[in-house]
Amino acid sequence: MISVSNIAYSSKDYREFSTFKFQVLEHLEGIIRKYDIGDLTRTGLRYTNVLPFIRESGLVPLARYFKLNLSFDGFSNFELRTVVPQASGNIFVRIEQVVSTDQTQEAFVLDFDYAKKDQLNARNLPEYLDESHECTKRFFERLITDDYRKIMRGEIIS
Amino acid sequence: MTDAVINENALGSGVFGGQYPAGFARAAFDMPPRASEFRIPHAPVPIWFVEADNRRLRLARPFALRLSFDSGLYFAENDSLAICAHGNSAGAALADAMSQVLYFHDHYSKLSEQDVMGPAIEMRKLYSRLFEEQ
Repeated sequence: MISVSNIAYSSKDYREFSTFKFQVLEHLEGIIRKYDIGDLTRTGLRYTNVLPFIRESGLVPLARYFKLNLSFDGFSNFELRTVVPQASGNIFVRIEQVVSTDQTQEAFVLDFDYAKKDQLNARNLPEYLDESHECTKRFFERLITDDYRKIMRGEIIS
Repeated sequence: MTDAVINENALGSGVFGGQYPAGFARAAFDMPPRASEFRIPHAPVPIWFVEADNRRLRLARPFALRLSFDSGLYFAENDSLAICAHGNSAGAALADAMSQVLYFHDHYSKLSEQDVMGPAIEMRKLYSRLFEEQ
């Protein structure tokens, strides 16, 4: 997506970071060269994941998916939005419930956005991407439970 | 400093916010916008336990349940476990699926190796190891 003051690249079929990074730079570097873009106001890497769940005894199974250490027995509904400052940026973290339009399926949306601001230059995009990815990955790893990690590894009867 | 006046009538009228004490607004929160569309392509849902007929059993290994809606009916399926459940609501389909899992588990648990042949050999193995030791 390109507008007067924004460039965004998105992928719905994310497999691994190295491939994604190659694709991003392939698209953006051409635009940066063509329009001689130097300073940037903001860079961000957003990673959104949809984690389907079913309720357990009417409650959302938060603890099966996320390590949040909340001192409550259970939740009928849950939403979290927070911003965590990092050394050279901020990471936005959102956990939100959604339901499919046919009402068959509920899911958590796990939404990360690592943002950098101030004194950014387009020639450093590869480093910004690496830094954003490292931070997002670290948060993802800390947040996801071992139970759900197994699911992601395919340790499930399908 | 402005005193906060809590409008008792306003509070409690919304589940998640939307109502704030007089003189207050929601704090600016520089979050990225919500994605306008999330596709949930009926990805299988992980199931860690089975609850039916007043029994609740934890699975030794989770299984995936595919939920769908077709022709006015809700479906819950798992190919490996030979589960094809349905109901008039997602909850009913899920309950039916759990009942089927328990039924098959109880059925195959009673059978010995000599009692089964063909595909039932694998089914018996799968169902006999399905739950954690009670």
